[in-house]
Amino acid sequence: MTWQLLKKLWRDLWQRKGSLGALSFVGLLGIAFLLSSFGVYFDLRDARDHFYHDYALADFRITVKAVPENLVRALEKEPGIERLEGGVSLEARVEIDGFPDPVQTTMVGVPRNGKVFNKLRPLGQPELPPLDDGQALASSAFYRAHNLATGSRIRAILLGQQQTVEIAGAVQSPEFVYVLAPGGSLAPDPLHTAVLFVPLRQVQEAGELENSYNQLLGRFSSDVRGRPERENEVLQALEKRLHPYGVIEAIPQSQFLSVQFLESDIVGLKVSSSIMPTLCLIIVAVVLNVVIGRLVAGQRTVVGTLKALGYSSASVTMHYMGFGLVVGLIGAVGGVTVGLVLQDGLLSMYRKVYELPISQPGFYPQLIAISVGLSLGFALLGTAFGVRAATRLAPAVAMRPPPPEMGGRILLERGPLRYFWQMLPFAGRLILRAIFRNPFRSCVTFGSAFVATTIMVQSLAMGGAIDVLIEREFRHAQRQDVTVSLREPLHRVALRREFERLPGVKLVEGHLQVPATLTALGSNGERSRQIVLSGLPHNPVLENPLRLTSGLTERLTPEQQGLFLSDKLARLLGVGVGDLVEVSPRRGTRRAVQLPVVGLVDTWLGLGAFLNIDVLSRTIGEHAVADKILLQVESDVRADLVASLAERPQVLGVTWRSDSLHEMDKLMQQNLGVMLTVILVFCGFLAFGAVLNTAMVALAEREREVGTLRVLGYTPLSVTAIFSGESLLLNCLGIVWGWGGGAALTYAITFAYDTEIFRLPFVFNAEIVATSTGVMLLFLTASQSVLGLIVRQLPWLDVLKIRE
Amino acid sequence: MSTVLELVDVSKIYPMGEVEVKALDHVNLAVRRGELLMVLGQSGSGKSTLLNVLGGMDRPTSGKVTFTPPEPGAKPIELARARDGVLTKFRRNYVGFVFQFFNLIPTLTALENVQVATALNSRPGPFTAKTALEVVGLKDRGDHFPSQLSGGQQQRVAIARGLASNPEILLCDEPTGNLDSETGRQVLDLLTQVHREFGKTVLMITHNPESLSIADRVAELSDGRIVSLKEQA
Repeated sequence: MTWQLLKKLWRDLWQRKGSLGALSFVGLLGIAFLLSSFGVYFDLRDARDHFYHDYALADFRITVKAVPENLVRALEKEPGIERLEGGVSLEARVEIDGFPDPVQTTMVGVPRNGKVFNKLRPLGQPELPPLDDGQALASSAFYRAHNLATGSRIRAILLGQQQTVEIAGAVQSPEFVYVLAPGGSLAPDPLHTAVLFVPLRQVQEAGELENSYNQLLGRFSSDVRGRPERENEVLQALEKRLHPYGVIEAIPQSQFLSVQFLESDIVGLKVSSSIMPTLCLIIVAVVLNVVIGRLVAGQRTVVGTLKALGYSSASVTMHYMGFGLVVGLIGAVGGVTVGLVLQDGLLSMYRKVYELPISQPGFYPQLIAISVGLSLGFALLGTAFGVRAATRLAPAVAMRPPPPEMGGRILLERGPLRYFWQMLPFAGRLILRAIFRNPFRSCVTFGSAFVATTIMVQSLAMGGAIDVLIEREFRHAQRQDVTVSLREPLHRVALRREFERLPGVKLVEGHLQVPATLTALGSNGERSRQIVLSGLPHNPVLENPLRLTSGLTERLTPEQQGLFLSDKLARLLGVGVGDLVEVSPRRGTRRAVQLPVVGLVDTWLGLGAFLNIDVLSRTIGEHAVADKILLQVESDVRADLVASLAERPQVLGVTWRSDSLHEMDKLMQQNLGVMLTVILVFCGFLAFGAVLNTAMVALAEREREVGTLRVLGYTPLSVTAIFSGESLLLNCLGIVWGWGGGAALTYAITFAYDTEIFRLPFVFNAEIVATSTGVMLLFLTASQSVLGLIVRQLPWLDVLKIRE
Repeated sequence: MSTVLELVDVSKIYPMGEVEVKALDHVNLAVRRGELLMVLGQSGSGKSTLLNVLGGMDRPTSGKVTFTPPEPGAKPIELARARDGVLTKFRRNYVGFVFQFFNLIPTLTALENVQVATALNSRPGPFTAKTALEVVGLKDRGDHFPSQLSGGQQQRVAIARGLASNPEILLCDEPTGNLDSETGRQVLDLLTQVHREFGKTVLMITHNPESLSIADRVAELSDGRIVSLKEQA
C-alpha cells in the first residue's frame, strides 16, 4: 500500500469516526462480555482447583463417634488408601462481647506438626502462627465480620464447658470455602457461624476424646482416585472396619457441602458464560459484517477510480481492510480493557461469598487471543465482503453509482394479502418494502432484538426463580421465628416445657435430625445416599416441608411408618411411592429398618427425607426425643430470649429466620442484583448499538430517498418515523420472539441446573416480560433519537446533487 | 502514424433486467499514436462505453481490442480477453484518465491525488507530481483538498494526475461537461497543450461541437455505431 493510500485510510477513518466508533462499541460489548464471563469462570475454577490441591483437600471424610489413634495408622494400610489422617471436629458455641447472639461454631483440631489434609492458609501473615493452648485461628469471614484482631478474646462453650480463647489470626480452609448458616439457609452468615482451629490435644481433651479421633480424612490411592465406583467400594470397606466405632458419615469429596455449593456455582457460571456471550458475539459478528461491508460498498466510486488508476484489486482490498482492522482493533482493545475491569468487579462479588484465595483477576492470553481474533476476523470478513462487491466490478462499472435497487413487488403485494396492502398508508408500505427487500439486514435487526431480549428474559427469570425458591422454601415451608440447635437429642416433652417458659415464646415445636444412609432395596447398595433424616411432629405448625405438596401433611401421623422423600432423592434412589427403602441410621442403636415410600415432596432444596418424629425416635432406640427446637416468639423479645438461651449449655446455636432471610436477600441483591444490572445494561447497549448501526446502513443506502422526501416537504421527524418504523417493527418482532426464546432458554437452563443442593423452578411471568420489554424499548428509543439527529443533520440537498 | 489502439468488430451489451442494451455495435476503430481524437455523440450513443473499453476499464462482449506498446519489440496486448492483472498493468503504465466528475479522492490533497497515480508508475516520465501540478497552473494549490477547489481547479488536478503517470494515451470523458464555458475552454486549452507539447495520444469524448476544432480526427457515434470518422484540417 502506498503512503498516499495510508493517508487516505487515516483521513477516511477520522471522517467516519462516529459510525466506526459506534461499530467498534458493539464489538467492544461482545468481547467485554465474553472475556469477563469466561474470565470469572476460569478465575473461580482455577482458584478452587489450586486451593484444593495446594492445601490438600481430603478425598473423603469419615465422621465417627470415636476411633483410637492407633487404629488410624492400621487403616492406612487398607487397599485403596494412600494416606489417612485422624482429626477432631466438634460443634461448639461462641460468645463475643458486644454481640448478643451466640455464634454456632465448628471447632477443628490442628496437630502440633500441622495438618496433612485440609491445610490452613494464613491471612495477613506469611506463616501459620504456632498454636498454644487457649489460642485459636478463626475462619476469615467470621474474623472480618466481627472485626477481630490478633489477641482478641472470645468465649467458647464446648460440651457445656466454657473457656476463653485468644484469636491468633485468620485463616482459610479448603474444607470451609462456603460456610452455610445453620437452620437450612442458602447464604453464609459469618456473624452467626464460625470455624475455629484450635490445638488438637486441647479439643481432644475438651471433647473427651483423649487418644482418639472423631473424624478421618484421607486420600485414595492413584488407582482408585477419580473412579467413583472404586471410591465407594473403598469407603464402604473402611466403614465396615470402623463400624464398631460408630460411623456417622462417610462421604467422598464430591459430597462435602462446601464443595457441592462451589461446584454448583462454577457449573452455573460455565453454562451462563458459554451461552450468553456466545449469543452476543454472534450478533456482534453479523452487525460488524453488515455495517462495515456497507461502509466499504459505499466507497464504490473511489474503488473504481483507484482501479482505473492502475491499482490492483488486491491492493485496493488491502487498503480497505484497514477499516476492518481498525474497527476490530478498537473493539478488541476496548473490549479487553472493559472486560478486565468487569471481571474484577464480578470477582469481588465472589470474594465476599467464598473463602477462596482469589486475589487478582486472571489474565488469559488465549481467551484474549480468541476474543480479539473473533472481533478482527468478523470485522475483516465484513470488509472483505464489502470490498469484494466493489472490486469484482470492472472499474468502469464501479465508478458509476450503483443501479437503483430492484423494485419488484414484495410478497405482501401479491395474492390475497394485497387487500391488506392496499389499506396501508404510504409510510407503512415504504417500511414493509424496505424490510422485505433487505432480508439479511432485516434478519440482523430482528436477531439483535431477539438475542438481547432472550438473554434479558433468561436472566430476569433466573432472579425470579431464586425469589420463588426462597419464598417457597423459607417462607411457606418455614414459619418459625427461631431455630435452636441442641448438642444432643433430649426428651421432647421436657424440652417443650422448658422452652415454653422462656421470655416471649408463643409456640414450641421439637424436631429430630438423624444422619442416615438410605438404600433402594434390590439395588445391591448401588442406589444409596447419605442424608439427614428429618423427624417431624404430628401436625407440624412451624417448619413443615410436606406443606409444599398438598395432601402430605395429613398423612404424617404417629401411626405412619413410611417415608416422605424429596423428588430428587427419589429419582436418585430410583424409587417411587410404595417402594421399600432400607434406612440405616447413624446414631443410637444403628439398626437398619425397611420403610416404604409413602409420598414425594416437591421441594427444590437438598435431598430431604421426612418421617414422623416418634417413628424416627424409635428407629434410633430412643423415645420421643428432639434435637432441634423451633420457636414462635413475640416481637421485641430477642435480647431477653437470647440471654436465656445462652444460659443453657445444651444449646449449640440459635438462628433467627429473619436473619437468614436478610442474609439471603443481601446475597441475592449483592450478587444476582449486580449480575442482572450488568446483563440488562449490556444487552440494552447491544440492542442499541446493533439497531443504530443497521439503521445507519439503511439510511446510507436510502439517502436519496430521504432527500426526495425532504424536498417533498417531509419534516426530519416524519422521515425519521419511516426509518424508525422499519427498525421498531423488526425490533418489536424480535422482542416478542425474545420472550419465547428467553422462556425456552430458561427452561433449558433450569433443566440443566438440577443439582443435589438445589433445583430451580421455571419462572416466567408478566413482570419479566414487562421489565425486559421496558429496558429494550428504552435503549431502542435512545437509538432512534440518535438516528433522528442524523436525519436532521443530513445534507439532503447535497445528497440530491450527487450525479447519477 | 502507427496505431496505438485498435478495435475490431467490438460490441458491448449490457443486460438490464429482462432487456439487453447494445452500447457498442460492431465498432471498428484504429487510434493513431500521437493524435487527438474527438468522439462526438448524443447521450446514450455509447461514447463512455467506447472510452471504457479502450482504457481497459471494461471488457467488450465480443470483438478485439489491441494495444501496441511504444517500447521497441514489445508484443501487442489483446485487452478484450485479458486477465484483470494484465488490464491493471495496462492502465497503470499506459493510460491516463480525465473524468467528467473529476473522480478525485476527497480525503487526499491535490498533490496527494496526483501522487496516488505516480506512486505506482514504473515508466519514468518528464513529470513529478509537483511539476505536473505546475504544468496545470496549480503549483500553489497542492495542499488543498478537492472540496477547497473550484470545479475547474479540480479538473486540472485530474489532468495533472493523468499526465503525471507518463501515459501513452490520455482518455478524457467529457472533461468540460461539468464546467462553465469559460473554465471549460481553459481546460480544453490545457489538454491541447498537453497533446502538442508532450506528444500524448489524446482521446476525448465530448458533446460540445465547439471543441471539435482542436481535434486531428472526429468520430461520431450513434446507437453504438461509428457513423462517421473525419480527418480535420
